[in-house]
Amino acid sequence: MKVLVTGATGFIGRRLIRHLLGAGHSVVAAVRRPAPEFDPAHVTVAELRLDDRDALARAMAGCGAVIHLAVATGTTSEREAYEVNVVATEHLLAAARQAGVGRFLFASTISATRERMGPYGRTKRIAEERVAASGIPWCTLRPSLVYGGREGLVANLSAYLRGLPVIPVMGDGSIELDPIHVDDVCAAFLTALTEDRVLGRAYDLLGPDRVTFNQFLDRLAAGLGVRRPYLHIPGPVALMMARVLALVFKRPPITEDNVLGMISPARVDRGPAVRDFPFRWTTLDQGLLGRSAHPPAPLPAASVTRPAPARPLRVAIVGLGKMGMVHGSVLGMMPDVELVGFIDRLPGMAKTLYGMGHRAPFFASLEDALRLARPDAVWICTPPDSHAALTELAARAGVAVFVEKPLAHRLEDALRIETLAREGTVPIACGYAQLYFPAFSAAREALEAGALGALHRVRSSMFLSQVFGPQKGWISDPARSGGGVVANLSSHLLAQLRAAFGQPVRVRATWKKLHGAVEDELSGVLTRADGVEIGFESSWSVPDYPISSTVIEAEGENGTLRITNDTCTFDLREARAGLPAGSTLRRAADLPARATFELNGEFYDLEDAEFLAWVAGGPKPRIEAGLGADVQRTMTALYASAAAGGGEVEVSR
Amino acid sequence: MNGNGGPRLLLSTEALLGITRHSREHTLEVKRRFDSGAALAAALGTALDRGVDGVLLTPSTSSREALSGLTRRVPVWALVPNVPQFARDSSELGLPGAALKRLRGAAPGTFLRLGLTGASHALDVLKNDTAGMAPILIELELASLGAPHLEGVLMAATLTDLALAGGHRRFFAHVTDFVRSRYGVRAGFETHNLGHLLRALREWKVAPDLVVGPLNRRGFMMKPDAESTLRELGASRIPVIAKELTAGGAIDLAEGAAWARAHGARGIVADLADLDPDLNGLAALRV
Repeated sequence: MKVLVTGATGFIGRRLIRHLLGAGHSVVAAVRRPAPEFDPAHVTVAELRLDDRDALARAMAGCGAVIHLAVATGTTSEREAYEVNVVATEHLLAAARQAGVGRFLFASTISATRERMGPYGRTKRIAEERVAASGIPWCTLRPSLVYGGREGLVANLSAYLRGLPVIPVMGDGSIELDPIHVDDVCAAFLTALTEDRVLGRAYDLLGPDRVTFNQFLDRLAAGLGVRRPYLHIPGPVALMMARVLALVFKRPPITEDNVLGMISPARVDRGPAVRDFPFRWTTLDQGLLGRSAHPPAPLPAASVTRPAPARPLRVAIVGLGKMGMVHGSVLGMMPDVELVGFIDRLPGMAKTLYGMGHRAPFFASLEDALRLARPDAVWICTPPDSHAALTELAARAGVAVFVEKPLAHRLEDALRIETLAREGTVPIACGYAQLYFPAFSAAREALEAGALGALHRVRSSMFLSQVFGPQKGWISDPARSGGGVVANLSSHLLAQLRAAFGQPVRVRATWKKLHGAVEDELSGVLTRADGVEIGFESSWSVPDYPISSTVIEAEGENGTLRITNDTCTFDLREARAGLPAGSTLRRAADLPARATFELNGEFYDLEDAEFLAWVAGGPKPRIEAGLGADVQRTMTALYASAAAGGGEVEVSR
Repeated sequence: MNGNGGPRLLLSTEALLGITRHSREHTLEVKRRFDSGAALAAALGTALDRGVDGVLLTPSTSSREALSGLTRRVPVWALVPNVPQFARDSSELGLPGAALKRLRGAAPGTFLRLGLTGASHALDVLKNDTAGMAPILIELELASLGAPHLEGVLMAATLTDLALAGGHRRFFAHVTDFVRSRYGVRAGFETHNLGHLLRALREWKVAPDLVVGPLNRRGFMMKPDAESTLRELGASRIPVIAKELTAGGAIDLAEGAAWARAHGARGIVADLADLDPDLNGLAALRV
């Protein structure tokens, strides 16, 4: 169902929109000012004023329901409260009738049921009456004190408990509250969207645990590990202070409604909501631990266009083994890419690509291909000991170069390539495809936005069940491959660590050579300039990993992060970087599906497309050669440490 | 099986290869539970009792043992080759060594069939043409699987998608013909690029008996994108069997199955990793 939400940028609004999207609804967010927090791939943002009925009706076109959350709180002006809480509701109801909206859900408050009401409670009560008389099928929900996600109430009280030596409490703190978790409120709205039994009714939404305000504060303080004395301000005094402050401030720190909320009991009945919303409610213990009985379902994958070259490009593949086949296949599926040459010193190797149906001229040397096929870019998929010479040849001819990882078999060659890349005459990249794992991309973006805060420590691993005996071919020859499991496999992990956490300054490592001349396992520690240590473990000789498995676990000042091949999970103390407090799991299916072709994963399509977009004049990709050179520096230092028995080795700069 | 349009409900054992979209912990748990001949044989029997039309099996030690220990008829749809195992074997033993490993313990008739298939595709082998090498691979893998009641043979997604990228029409046409004529069973292709493949098959006028590919309301793994895939599904006359119904655990299995069927899937594949330990969830997936 398409749903228009007012108050979309508020505490409940933002959370409710996550719930609506997760439940498969589409959302129009009615906002007063630009709302960059909403991803346009998921949410239609309608910037409007609530007194503009025509704009409202246009925004409601096609909507099956309106959820009206917008309120005026914190105001001392009866007139302002009336304008927003009553008049705007009337406009909204009129526009909803005009647009033929089938259901109107109204967020009221238990303040509208108090024995004594301030401007907020009084105006919400009137608005309830307007909704009930609108003629549109309606349901009104009156949440009690809403908390959750370390935002809103809990965030404010937590800040007071942490920061103030004494906590002022209006009244004696004995007023009974039924705090309700924000996710339970959202679940009730979702139910009300589709259930007819709730229509024409108003419900008091109360949490399952009744506590006094003092008890609530005690539990919150215990959770934070602090103890503070409370300074109780008698109700009449607090009320008088609020009224005096209202004379001075337009938006005072305490309002009459705030005080009445602490001293005037609400006349509430939990029975109807328990009857008509038969789901599990979040207990206060759960909620204060950052859990809820109704976490929002993951967002559906947004359809986001993947990068593409701005013009047709001619591409040649050098090295026709496994990776040549992979890149040839992926590039062959791109509409604006023409494969113009297959290059290998062994003519028989071309049969593999021809045998799969590809058709492009074969060349026994890159020189011939550059001269005769005139590619815009070449993919170098040969053994690493040939990378530097081939890259120099292509770059000097003015042709862009994609080098399969690792950048080279030794640091000296990698630095030659890096120097060429720095000259900037042609784009040069190194194929660390795992940087394009959707889960890693999402995690990295959140890290860059400061989700974890200051980093404390990182652990990482990459395992594969592949080598259980002596290997055939160049891969087992360190003079050609540059090494074993790290050079050929877990340099991917080093690239991810470099991209997410920066370049280490020193390392230490140990290795095991189980089946030949190259290492089959390597364990180490990478240390950053700020002293943060990054654990690193890798093996290709362990059972039960039929496909390579990468895990990165990071711990920071604001919580933890776990990245796997298919998921990233944040567990945050405070909401940051667009992520809520508590645990957020993002599966690959929740993340934008940008690739248009899949071959053992989406990442080859994405990295090749991003590189080609660069070649055609687009932005630099995340796999530019400098990152590949940094990985080579770290890898070289790890090998040096392991060869020396595990001592600390500086990473070259 | 219902009619000639392909199976309506298959059990997949792909999780036993370690290839799932679920967490590694869950996948290992599934492997621990089912990855023995006896446990898998029991699971296959249970699945039949719960209403599946057959099982999608890839050659492996446990699947071979399970099939040899069966006391009842289990319709098998062979999904070949076992790509991770084949890659490991060929890197250690080379291609000939990997081939010989699959023939270990094979009956004399198998060698005869393989010889005939090899001889009739010798030119393709010399040219490294996958269209002609695939039949030999199928012979080897089926010899390794040893399925007594074969209902169909499906080419695994890695090979399908490589041939698709190469625009290799003859691969699809020849594999389809070979499987039908050699074994008298249905021929199909697994893919991770369903929209691309259906379009190519339509343009090439190649009609295998079925195609297995990702289909779910999240659009997860639906390539080139969800919209194009659904459009091609609507235009295709080839029965499509939907997999990845849960989008890696994001969608309830029964809901995913209903969605796939409502959007044109002929049948569905539920993997061991998608199901409860007793496979009770299968009953809810029957049409």
